[in-house]
Amino acid sequence: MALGSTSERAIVVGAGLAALRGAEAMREAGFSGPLAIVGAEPYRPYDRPPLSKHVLTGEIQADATTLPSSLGSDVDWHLGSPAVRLDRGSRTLHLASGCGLSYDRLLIATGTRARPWPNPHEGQLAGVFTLRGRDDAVALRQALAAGPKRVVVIGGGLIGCEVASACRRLDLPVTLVQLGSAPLARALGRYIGTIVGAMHESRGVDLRLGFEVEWLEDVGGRFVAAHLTDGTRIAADVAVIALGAVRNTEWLDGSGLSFDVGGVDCDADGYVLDVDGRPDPMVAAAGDVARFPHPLYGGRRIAVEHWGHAVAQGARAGRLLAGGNPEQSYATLPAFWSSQAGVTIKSAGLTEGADAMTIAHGDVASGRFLILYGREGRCIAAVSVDCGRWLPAYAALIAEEAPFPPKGAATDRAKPLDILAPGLS
Amino acid sequence: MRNRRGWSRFPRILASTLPLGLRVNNDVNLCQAYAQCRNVAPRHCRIEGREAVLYHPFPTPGDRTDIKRARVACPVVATQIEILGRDA
Repeated sequence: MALGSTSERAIVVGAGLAALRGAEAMREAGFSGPLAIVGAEPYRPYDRPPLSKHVLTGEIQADATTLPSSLGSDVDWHLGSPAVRLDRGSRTLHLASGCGLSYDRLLIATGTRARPWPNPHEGQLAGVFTLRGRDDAVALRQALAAGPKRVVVIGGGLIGCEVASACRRLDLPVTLVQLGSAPLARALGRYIGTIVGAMHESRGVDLRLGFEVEWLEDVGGRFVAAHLTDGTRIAADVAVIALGAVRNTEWLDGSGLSFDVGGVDCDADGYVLDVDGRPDPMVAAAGDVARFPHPLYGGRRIAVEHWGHAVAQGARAGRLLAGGNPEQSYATLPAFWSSQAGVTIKSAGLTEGADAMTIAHGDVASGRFLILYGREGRCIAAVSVDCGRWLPAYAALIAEEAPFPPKGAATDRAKPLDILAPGLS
Repeated sequence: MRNRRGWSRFPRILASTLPLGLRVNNDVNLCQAYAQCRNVAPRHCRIEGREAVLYHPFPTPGDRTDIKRARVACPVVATQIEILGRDA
């Protein structure tokens, strides 16, 4: 299955982090044939984490986020023209530009896009933004630099919280509206979400929890206020829609591959499955768009939208397509970080389904602590708040599915650990 | 606010205007805020709060030595550097 002949062609669909690391891995594994990278945006792969942080505060220019790369000049870049159709029969990828590219190996890494505001008219008002790409960040930065009288952030996930944080660093009044009972509650649970929410409030974020934005008011096509379901009107110049992401899979319509809005399905090796569940040995997927069976989660297919995952799975898929030696099932522990409210939050594992938690290190009052999550008596996740140096020790417990609560683990407690409810519903 | 003041001293450059230079990327999953990068390259790396290491992603060519030193100093090897214009 190796890309033995240099006449064989490889295409990477997508030009983000997973795509870049996949392409690099192909070259590093010895593939020297024609390599094309197809991107919807006109930019070489760039780093997204700064877009919701220092690009918004103006400390880093958006075009300084271009990622370092080991790729040479022997790459055929097709930027600014997304893939629109995949014909596996003739092994041809069709681009929006009308161009058709033939392939022998294909890496799908088309990632996600911001979930749009459900009302298309309101979503297109001047002053209403989503944040996913570089252009989004530039547009939002310009709006923030203009000194709006208030910013409304809709959604209390990672992006919403980081945007609210950036607004406060710019000394802008900001209201964060979230239907849930605490920011970050869906990912990390109500317990830690409540703590982080209080940190945001102490820095001046106006938190409106348990509320939904019903509609966005405009005057002459310009956003002027958000209306909550209880009738409250929040006057603001800027609204940021931070309602999560949608996976870019529509272009696979008619390809015969197994996909839906939740991602494209892969086997344990990383090959993409067709609608009959058979792997296509010419096609692999990686990054946000790939739904793969994770051995730590009972082989259930999950898609992980994390930076480190894009790096690890992208590289692995690249080696796979280049015909590298068989590797063990992809089992990299999901991990992410976020900077917000003046603290660094880092996570290892997935909190989903956690039925217990304990503060394993530090204490909440000091603002530095690490929480370990358990499910059915096993360690499944750990989240650190300004306590990242301890995270690898707990990540190891999670990777080996160690008993929860941990016995004899590296905790700084003299007494037995208190078992608390994580507040994940 | 000490760190914000420090960060603002970073040269604000447009990457596209640079024919030569460096690109720097820090794997924050690996980064454990040992801050050795700040110690050896204080003009390019900052600590914000207690744990966030900030770095300038696109320093100027003259900063190459500092940046390379920062990479080597990192106990967890979190920093990736690309030297642009290598093939030119």
